[in-house]
Parts: sequence; structure tokens; C-alpha cells
Amino acid sequence: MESSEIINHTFEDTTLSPNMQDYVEMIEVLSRTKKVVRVKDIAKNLNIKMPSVTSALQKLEEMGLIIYERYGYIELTEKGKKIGVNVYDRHTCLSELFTTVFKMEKKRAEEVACRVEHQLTSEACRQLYKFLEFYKSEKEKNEIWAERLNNILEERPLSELRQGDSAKIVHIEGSGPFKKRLGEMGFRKGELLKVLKYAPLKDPLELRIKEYNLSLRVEEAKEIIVKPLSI
Amino acid sequence: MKSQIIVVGLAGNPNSGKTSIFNALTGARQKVANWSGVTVEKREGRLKYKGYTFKIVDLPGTYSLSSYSIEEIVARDFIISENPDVIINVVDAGNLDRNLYLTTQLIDMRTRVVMALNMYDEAEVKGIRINTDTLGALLGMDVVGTIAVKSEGIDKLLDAVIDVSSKQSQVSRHIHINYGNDIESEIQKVQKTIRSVELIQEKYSTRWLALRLIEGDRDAELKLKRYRNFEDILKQAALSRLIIEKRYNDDIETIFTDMRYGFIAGAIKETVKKTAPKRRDFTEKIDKIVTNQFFAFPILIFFLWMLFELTFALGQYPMDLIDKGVILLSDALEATLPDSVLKDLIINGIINGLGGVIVFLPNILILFMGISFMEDTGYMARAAFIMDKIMHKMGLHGKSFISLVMGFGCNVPAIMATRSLENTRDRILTILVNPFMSCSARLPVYILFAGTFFSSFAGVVITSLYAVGIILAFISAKLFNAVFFKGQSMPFVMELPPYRLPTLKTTLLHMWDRGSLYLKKVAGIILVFSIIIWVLSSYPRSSEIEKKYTDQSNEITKTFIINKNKIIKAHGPESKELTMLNEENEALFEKVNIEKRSEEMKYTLIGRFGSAVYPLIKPLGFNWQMGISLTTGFVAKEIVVSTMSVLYHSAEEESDNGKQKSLREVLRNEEYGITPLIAYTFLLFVLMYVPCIGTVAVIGREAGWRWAVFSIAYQMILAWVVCFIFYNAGLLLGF
Repeated sequence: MESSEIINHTFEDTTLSPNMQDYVEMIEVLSRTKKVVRVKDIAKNLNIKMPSVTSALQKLEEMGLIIYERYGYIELTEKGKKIGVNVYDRHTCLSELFTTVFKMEKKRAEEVACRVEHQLTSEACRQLYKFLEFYKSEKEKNEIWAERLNNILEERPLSELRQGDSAKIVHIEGSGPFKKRLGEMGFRKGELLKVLKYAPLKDPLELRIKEYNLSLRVEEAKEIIVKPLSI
Repeated sequence: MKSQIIVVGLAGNPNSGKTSIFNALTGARQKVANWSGVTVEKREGRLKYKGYTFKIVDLPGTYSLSSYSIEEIVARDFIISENPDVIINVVDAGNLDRNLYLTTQLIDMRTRVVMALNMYDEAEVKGIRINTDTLGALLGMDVVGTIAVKSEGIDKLLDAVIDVSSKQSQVSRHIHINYGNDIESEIQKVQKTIRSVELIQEKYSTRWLALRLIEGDRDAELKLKRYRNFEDILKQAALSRLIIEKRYNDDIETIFTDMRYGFIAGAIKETVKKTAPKRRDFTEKIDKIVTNQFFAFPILIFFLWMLFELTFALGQYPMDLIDKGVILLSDALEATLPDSVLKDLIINGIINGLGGVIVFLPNILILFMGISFMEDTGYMARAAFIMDKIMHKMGLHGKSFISLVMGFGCNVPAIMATRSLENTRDRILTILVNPFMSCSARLPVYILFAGTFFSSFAGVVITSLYAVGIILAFISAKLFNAVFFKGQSMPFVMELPPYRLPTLKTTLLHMWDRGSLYLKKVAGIILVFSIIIWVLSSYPRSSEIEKKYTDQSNEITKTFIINKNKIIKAHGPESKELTMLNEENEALFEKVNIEKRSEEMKYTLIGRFGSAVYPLIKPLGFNWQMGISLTTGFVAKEIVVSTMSVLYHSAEEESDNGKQKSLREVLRNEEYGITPLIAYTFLLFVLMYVPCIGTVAVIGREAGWRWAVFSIAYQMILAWVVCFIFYNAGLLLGF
């Protein structure tokens, strides 16, 4: 995003219900990629049944946010467009924050962004946005603090890795026999490991370290802090 | 000659092929026992080679020799106290990195080591090439490449052992792992305090002891307390520990493991060359199916079903043969020996007892063949991997599952199967809850009562009993965990070894191992118990009862003869009436016989005991017949049924001639007052009360006698309390 756009992002608050915000946002998103927006597309993308979508759209029309055109095409009014752009801006800002800064997985980041976008005030959103932009430019300049922040935020418990992820051990929490045993079995700082799979009941997990395979309970994997390797 | 005996200890990681090396060395000439005082298995074998006799002791497979587990302490104590001439360190060549950790500790202990670089063929396939000469020179020990399953390299290994023990080896020397100046100077300080006590010096390597104490090894500290000045030594060690931790800004365990792995990394860098693997690992492919989201459980269930069927269905044939053999033998003896108490003892006490003992043997052999196969292929670890989540909820280990499932067949082999659990705590817990798995011997009792009192719901009733057993196992496991093993939660760091095809030899050896272990250690106890119970259930005998019934029989015979003559006179010798009379007479005899046995039983010690406990079981709604039956059920639960049929003067099975009332009909008879509520309470009691003799014996062997006694007490109390509540609640609800 270019810096001039910052001014354009107002992240204005709206009194519309979160549910309705989602519709307006979706219409805005669809209108950017498609020539026309159909009820069908909205239903599909929001994963909501057609009749519910239709009745919601009627309400939005009554509020003067959209116009129902011929052939069931939908267009946002100027008022509606403003809300749509605002909500979508919040979403993109938040999901980018979660992925690039907080190092969350794309899908999870989108999910959380969808939930949070309606709750934040415009002020909070603006500040987050400024932070995000600043961090990105600092990171590009290889500023040490940004590197360090990046490292810290990349670290996570082994239990949060997905099947097939590789990672490097940062440190092992806790103490006593468990830590000692892990150490003896080759778990130490800097060692590489790969999560091979989770058991059918999602616990325990199997990983590969030092040329052999080992299983660990998820509860125990939480104690091992790793830094995922980007592939 | 004594000088020619070489004592060798085998040390190595689990899955390093240590057992295969042991088998290749000793073949079937091995002894299995427990290490004194603990339930860790000890194997010993002997062999002769080039005029030397080797005594080989297989140490428990461990990843390390710190005092993390009993197994590690056992292995370590052997090395320190029994002074083996040489330690063979079995190392998986394909996983050198981690395997060498144990080696570093052996070096610290200043033992004379020969390394068996095992499975080097597999390593080569993986693209790993190891320069054994350089490795040996670096570690100061002979390194011999072996492929144990093909017995390759075994002779060279023995040659190396001879060289080392006779101090002829060119390579063997004491090296120090250098922990860096800071740590080394601290080690020296502690060593100095240790050297002030001569007695310690004689027993331990001072460097090793210093290392252990600095690392805060509880077991080493404990053993030191015997010596004078131990407080000074501990103080110095604690101080050194503090200094090192401060210097490295980390905890002591991490610092030392880091140092050791640093040493290993150096050694590997100089000796190992890695190239691209020759073929893809097929373990991954198998695992894709075996631990697959959808197939994992069906496959596990299939394997267990097969194991169960093989063990108990296939095992039935040899068991029947054994039964027949026992009957033949006792019949033969019955015919040849003169009547005496001794004859009675031999036939009913010893032969029957022996029969009861070896009857388990087919089960045990087949089950352990299966388990050994599952273990050696690597599937066992996967089964544990799949099941661990559920078992962990009970506070058990994934591997406990196999043992518990086998419990549905028979608790005796099932409890022996807990040997595949490495951890003592897991093992004891699994053993203690095993009797709640309704074994097949309880099924006849279930069928009898459920069929009699809940005819159309019999299936539901029986299923509910199995379910209650499982729930009780769950609750008990939680309880034992909280009471006995609080805070001892063991991490589930379990290696998933690559799949390998075991050789027939290993599987058979393993099977033989268990079979002979059972015969030697458990069978004797069961036999003694059986004889005791037989004595209790046959003595004292009353001559009055004997006389009373002999009189009755004589009376019957007398009347019979008179009637017979009358009929022959009236209708002739081939008449229908005569056949009828014969049948009547037989039935009469049978009746008198059963009455006699019933009265005799009541007169015996066990009968008296059963009657004496009647007040105790009365609150549960049971009658005195139930009391005696339950008492005799201690021998084996299915005996409850046969005792009942004797006490109720009935035939055990639905009889064909209809003269004798079946036990089912008799039980329904209102004069005995057994309601469906009482029947169900009784079944609950049978499910829960004391494990049978065989189970008690095997618990005693595997977990220790204290646990066996506890198990009996716990189950009795639990059975009584649960039944009391159930019965009275049932009464209140109007059943």
C-alpha cells in the first residue's frame, strides 16, 4: 500500500449490526473483482442460505445502503459503499497485522480478523494501521528491533505446529526429569525437528529429530518452544 | 578356570538391536529373572568362544545412565557394583547421534567399552557411512560393525572383547570428555573432596561421581550418604553447580547435555559421511496407512481381534488336549493306586492343580508370540500412539491398551503382557485395573444368571457388566493415580522405531522366554495355592455323613433289588417296567450322591467359611449357597457355577433325561428367594470381587506381593460397597 493511501483509510465507525456489516463488506469485495454482484455469489461466499440473504438485502435496501437492480444485480449506494470500504479496510489491516507481524497462519488470521473487525473503534484501527506500516518499513530497513520482535513473535510452542511443519528449537520450558529426558534424547537449542503427524485423535504427535521418530503428547509439546522454518 | 570367565554387560538404547545382539551371542542359553528388589527384567546368558566362557548380562535398554528411571539405576548399579570386565555398547548406526549420548556416559564412568555398531547395513541404505577406525580412535574404544539379525560381526565383537579384557587392545584407552575449563576446574574441586574418603574411591570413579553430584543426581547423593564426610562433598558439589549455572546462565542439565552433544557432534563430523539415501524409507509409507485418520482404528481393532482370536480360540485346542490328558492321567492313577489320602492328594490336589497351571500355557505362548511380533515389527509403538489419548485420560499409557484388551480373555497372560510397558508406575496401574476386565471365566456365571433371570434381556445384562467393569477400571485408575502416584506423571516420550521384519528366531525366543518365565515363576505359586484350596475344600471329612449316605444307598439298593425281583417275576426280564425301574433307581442314586456332596461341602473348611461369611453378604441379599460358591470361586471364577449346582442339588447343564432338575430351574424356585435384583447384584459381585488364584499369583510376581494383597482387599471392599448400595437402592425403588 502506498503511503498516500493512509489518509484514505478512515476506518470509520458504523452503527450497523456486525451481521449487516458482513453483507455490505462482501458486496464491496465482490464488486471489486466482478462486473456484477449477484445474490447467489453473496450466499456462496458468506456460506449463508439464499432466502436469508434475500431478506437481509431487503433490509439493507430499506436502509438505503444498496440498490436492487434488474436481473437481481446488487449495487451499493454511496452511503453503503462508504461502510463497505471501511469494514473491508479494517479486515485487510487486521489480517495483515496478524499474518506479517504476529506470524499467525493465514487462515486463522482471517478468522480472527473477521471477528475483531466489527468491535474495534476507528481510533484503535488507525493506530494499529500506523503501527503495521511503521513496522513493515522498519523491517525492510533491517532494523534490529524489528528483527528481534519478529523473532519473538515467530516463536511458538511445538504444539501449535501443523503436520509437515519444520522448526528449530529455541528453548525448552519447565525443569526436572522431563526436561532432562528431552535433553538426553537430543532436544536442545538449535536442533531441527519436523512434525510428521498428529495421531487420529489429535494427540499425541509424531516428530522427527536427529534421524529418528518420536511421539510426544500435545501437553508436553507445549513446553518446547520452536521457531518455524519458512519453506 | 576362573580367569577365563569374562563378564560382559550389554548396554544400549531401546531399539538399538541390543536384544538381537544378545540372542545372536547366547542363542537359547539364557536365563530370565528380575533384578533384585525391582520388577525390571534381567537376562543372562553364557557362551564359550576360543576357550573363554562369556557371561553376558543384558542391561535394560536406556537412553542414558542418569537416575531418571529405575531401569537406568539398575543398569548403572550393575556397571558400578558388579564390575563387568567389558561393556558392549550396542549402537544403532543409523541413528548414531542420539545413541552416542549413552556412550559419553559410559566414557564418564571409565568402563572398558567395545562398541557394536549395529545395523550398519540399514545405515548404508540411509546413505550414512561411518569410519569405524576413526570413531574408535576418537572414543578410545574398539568399534565393530555388526548386523545382529544375520549374526554378522559377532565373532569380531567377541575377539574385541577378549582383547580388551586381556588388555591387548590397541585402541582401548581411557579418554575424558572435555567439559571446558570452567566445568573441569569445578569437577576437580569436587573430586578432591571425594578423594578424602578412601572407601568411596575404591568403589567409584571419582570423576564420574563428581559429575553426577554436580548434575544433582538424587540416586548418587543417596548412595553417598553411607560414607563419612558426605555432607562436605555434597556442599562442594552444590557450590560447583551454582558456579557453573551462573557462568553459563542455564540450568545444569541443559549445560551438561549440551556439552555431551557438542562432543558427539565433533566426533560425528570427523567420522560420518552422508550421501543421498539409496531408497526411500518405507516406514513412512506404512505409517501413512497404519496411523491414518480413518484407517488407524479399524486396523488396530482388526489386529487386536486377530490376536484375541488366536490366543483364546486357537489356544482352546491345546487347552482341551491338556484337559483330556489330565483326565486320562487321573483316571489311570485312580485305577492303579490303592485308596488313601495320598492318592486323593495326588489326583485331586496335585494333578488337578498342575492341569490348572499348564492350561494357561497355550494362551501365554500364543499371546506372546503375537505381542513379540507386534513389538519387533514396530507396530506396538504405533498402537500406543493411536490409543494414548484415551488411555492417558485414565492415567495410563497407550501401551496399556493391549494388556487391558487381553484381560477380556484371561487376566493371567494379560498381566504378563504389561512387561512391554517400560515404566513401573504405568505397569503397576495397568496390572491393578486389569481384573476389572471381565475375563472369559466370568462369562459362564454371567450367562447362567442373566439367562435365568433376565431371559430376553440377557444380552443387555451381560453387556452392562462388561461396561461396568470398564467404568470401574477407569475410576480405579484415576483413584490409584491420585493416591499412590501423585505427581509422578511420566512424559510420553516414546520412540517410533522404523518398521522391521523380525526373524522367526527372535519371535520364538521371546515366546519361549515368557512361557518358561510363567512355568518357573508363576506356575509354582498357582500350584501351591491350588493344593491349599483343594485341602480346604475337601477337609475335614465326616464319617457320620459318609455313614449316613452309605446307609441310604444300601437302603435304596435293597428296595431296588426287591422291586426288581418283583417286576421280573410279573413282567419278565426284558420288560418296559424294568427299564423304568432302572432309570428311577439311577436318578435316586444321583440325588443321594448330590445331597451327600452338598453336605460334605458344607462340612469342609471352605464350606464352613462360606457359611460363616453369610452374615457379611446377607445385606447384599445373597443366600448361604451364594456365599460358598463365591468362596470357591477364588480358585477360578467359573467354579462358582459348579459349586452352585452341587449346593442346589441340581445338574449343571439342562439334562436330557429330565429327571434331574437343571440349575436354572432350581434357581428360579421361589423358596431360595433369588429375585432379579439379587441376581444382578450377585453378578456385580462376581465381576468385582477377588481376582482368581492365577491372577493373584501373577500380580504378586509382576508387581510384588504387597500389591497383590492390596488388589484383593481393594476389590473385596469395592465389590461389597457397590453391591450394598446397588441392592438397597434397588429395594427402595421397589425392584
